[in-house]
Amino acid sequence: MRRPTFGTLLLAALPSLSGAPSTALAQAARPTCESCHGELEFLRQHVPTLEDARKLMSPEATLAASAHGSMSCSDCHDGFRRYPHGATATTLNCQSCHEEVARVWSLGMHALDSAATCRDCHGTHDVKPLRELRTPEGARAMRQACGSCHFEPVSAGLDPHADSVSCAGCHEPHRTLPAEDERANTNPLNQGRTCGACHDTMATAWRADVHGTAVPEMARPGGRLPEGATSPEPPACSACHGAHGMLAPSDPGFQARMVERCSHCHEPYAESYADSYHGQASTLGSAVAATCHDCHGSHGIYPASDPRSTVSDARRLDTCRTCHQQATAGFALFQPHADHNDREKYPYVYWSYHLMTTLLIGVFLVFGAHTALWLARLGFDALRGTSHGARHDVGGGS
Amino acid sequence: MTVPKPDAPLHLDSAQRGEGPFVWRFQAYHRWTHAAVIVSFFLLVLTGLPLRFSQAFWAGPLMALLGGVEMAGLLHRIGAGITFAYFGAHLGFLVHKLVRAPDPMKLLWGPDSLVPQPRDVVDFVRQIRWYFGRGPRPRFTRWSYMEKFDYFAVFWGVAIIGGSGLMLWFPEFFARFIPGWVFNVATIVHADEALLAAGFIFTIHFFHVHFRPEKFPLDAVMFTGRATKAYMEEEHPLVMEQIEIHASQPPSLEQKPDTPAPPPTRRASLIAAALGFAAVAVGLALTGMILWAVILY
Repeated sequence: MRRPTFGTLLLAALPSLSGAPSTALAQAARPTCESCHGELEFLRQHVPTLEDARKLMSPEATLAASAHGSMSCSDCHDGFRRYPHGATATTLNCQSCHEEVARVWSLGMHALDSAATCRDCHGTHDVKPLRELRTPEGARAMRQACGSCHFEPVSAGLDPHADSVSCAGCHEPHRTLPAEDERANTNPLNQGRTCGACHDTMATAWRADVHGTAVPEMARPGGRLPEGATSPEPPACSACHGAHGMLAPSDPGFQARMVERCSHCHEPYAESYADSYHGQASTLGSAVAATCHDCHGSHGIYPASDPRSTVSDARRLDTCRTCHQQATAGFALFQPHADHNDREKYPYVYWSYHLMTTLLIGVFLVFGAHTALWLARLGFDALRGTSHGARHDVGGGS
Repeated sequence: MTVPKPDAPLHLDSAQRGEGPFVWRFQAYHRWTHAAVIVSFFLLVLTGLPLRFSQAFWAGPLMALLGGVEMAGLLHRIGAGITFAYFGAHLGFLVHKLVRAPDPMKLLWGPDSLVPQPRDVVDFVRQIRWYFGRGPRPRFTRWSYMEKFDYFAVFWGVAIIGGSGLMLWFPEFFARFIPGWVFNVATIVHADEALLAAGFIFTIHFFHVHFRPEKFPLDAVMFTGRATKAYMEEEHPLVMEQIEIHASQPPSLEQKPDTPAPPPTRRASLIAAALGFAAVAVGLALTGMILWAVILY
C-alpha cells in the first residue's frame, strides 16, 4: 500500500459524500481513489457500458510497479483531487515534471504532428524505470514498442545487440532523428561517437584510419568519392557491420558478410579476390581461408603505401605468417589481388592466363573439328549406305 | 582342359561386337592403372571444379555434398596421392619392361610402340583426307594416333597439373626457392590445364572411345581387357594381320596381349558396363556444369 498523500488525505477528510457507494465509503476510514475506482460494480452504475467502467478502474498494481510507483493518482490527475470531480478536471502533461526531456523531444522527428508522444513509447501507468529499460527484458520491450511503428526486421537470435542494447542505445530516444540527418546519432558522421560509447578501442582505431578519415569527406552533401572506392556509402561503423540484424564476429556467417560488405565499395579487389584461392575457398564456406580483414585488418586499415598498413612492405610478411607460419620473404611476393587483364602490373599472370586460354581454345578447336568431321563423315556414309565400304582398302605403312 | 560354355556377348559393349573369338588387348596391370586413373581423376575433378567455378550456382551444393571445402581439399590431396602413385608405378613399369624386354627397341619404335612416329602423321593426314572423301580410312596399328595422344596427355597433365599442384600444396616450402608470384601463375596453370584435361576426357576421349557410331554406347575393352576379333580387325587391323586367332585355340591364362582370350563372363561384362556408364554419366554431367559456368561467368 502506498503511503497516503495529500490527495488521499483530502478525500478522507471530506465529511459527506452524497451519492458515493454506501458500503465502500462508509467502511473506509480514509476514502481513497480506490474507494470508487476500485469498485467495478459501483462504477458500472455511473457509466453506459461495462467496458467504460473497466477503463475507470484504478491501475493501482501497475502503477505500484512502475517508475511512478511512489506517486499518487492525483500527482498526475491533478484536476481530480476534489470529489465530486469537476466537469473540466484535467490531467497534467508529462512535461510539467519532465521539462527538459519534453523540450528535447520537441526537437526530434517524433514531435512532428505529435507522431509519437510520451505515452506512445512509455505507456501511461506502466512507465518503466530506467534501470528496467537497461535489462534484456527492457530492451526487448522497447523493441516491441518501437516495432509497433517501425518495421525494421530484427532477428533477435543473431544480432549481438538484441539483448544488450535497446533501440534507444543507438537512436537518441527523445530527440529522435533520421540517420540522414547530420545531427542524428546514427548518421555516419556520428557513428564513431555513438558506437564508440561502448566500443571505444575500435572506434578510436577507425577514426584515424583510411575509412574514419574518409567519412567526413564523403558524408556531407557533395562529398567526394575517394580513389579506389566504387560506392558513395561513407565507411562508418554500419557500412561494414550493418545495423539491425548485424552479426557478431563469432558468428559463422560473419566472414562472408564482411567480404560482401567490403566488395560493395572495393569492387575490382573483390573480383580479383574471388579469382584467388583465398576467395574461392571462402566463397564456398571455408572458415580458415583468408578474407579481407585477415590481411588488411579491420579497425586501423591503411593504404599499402603506409608503413602502418598490415600489407605494407614492412609488415606484409608478418601478416602472411599469421596463417602461413613458415612463410619466407619470397612467399610474401604472392599477389593476392592479381588481375589477369592488367599486363602492366601483373605481366606473368597476364601472360600465363592468356597463353593457357589460347591453349584451351586451340586444343578444343582442333579436336572439336576432328570429332565433328568424323561424325559428319560417318553420317554422310550412312546416308549413302557405304558405312564400312572404304574401310579396308588401304594398307598401313609398316 | 574344359572350357565352360561362354556367356552370350553383351551387345552394349562394342568390344564384344560381331563374331569370332576374343583376343587379349590389355593386361591386368593396364586395366588397374586405368582404373586408378579414373578414380583419381574423378576425385580430383569433382573436388577441384567447384573451386575453379566457385561463383557458379552448382559450386556450393557440390561442395556441401563432398563434405565442405576442407573435406574436398583432403579428397583432392588423396586423388593427387593416387595419381603420383600410379604415375611412379608406371615409370617403374616402363623401366622394368625396357630392361626385361628381349627387344627394347620394339617399345621405342615400330608398330607396337606408343612413341609418336612419322606413320602417325601419315595416319592423321589420311584421316583428314577420309573426312573429305579424298581417300580411304587409315588402318591403325596397335595404337592409333588418338590413343597415343591420350597416353602422352597423361604424362603432360601429371607433370604440369601435378607440379603446379604440389607447389600450391606446399607453398611455404617452395617459396624458399621461388618467388611468391609463381603461385599466381601456378594457380592459373593448374586450374586451366585441369579444365583442359577434364574437358578433353569428357568430350574428345569419350567421343573417340564410346560415342562415335562404331563404338556407341560403350567400349569396355579397357575394363575386361579383351575384344572380339571383329572389333580388332576394324579398330586395329594391322595387329590382326600379324596374328592368327581361331576359336579352336585354348585361351591364354596369362592375359598376354594378342593371345586368344576367353569371352568375359556375363557378370564381368555387366560390372564393366556399369562402371563405364557411371563414369560417362558423371563426366557428361560435369561437362554440362562446366559449360554452364563458362558461359555464365
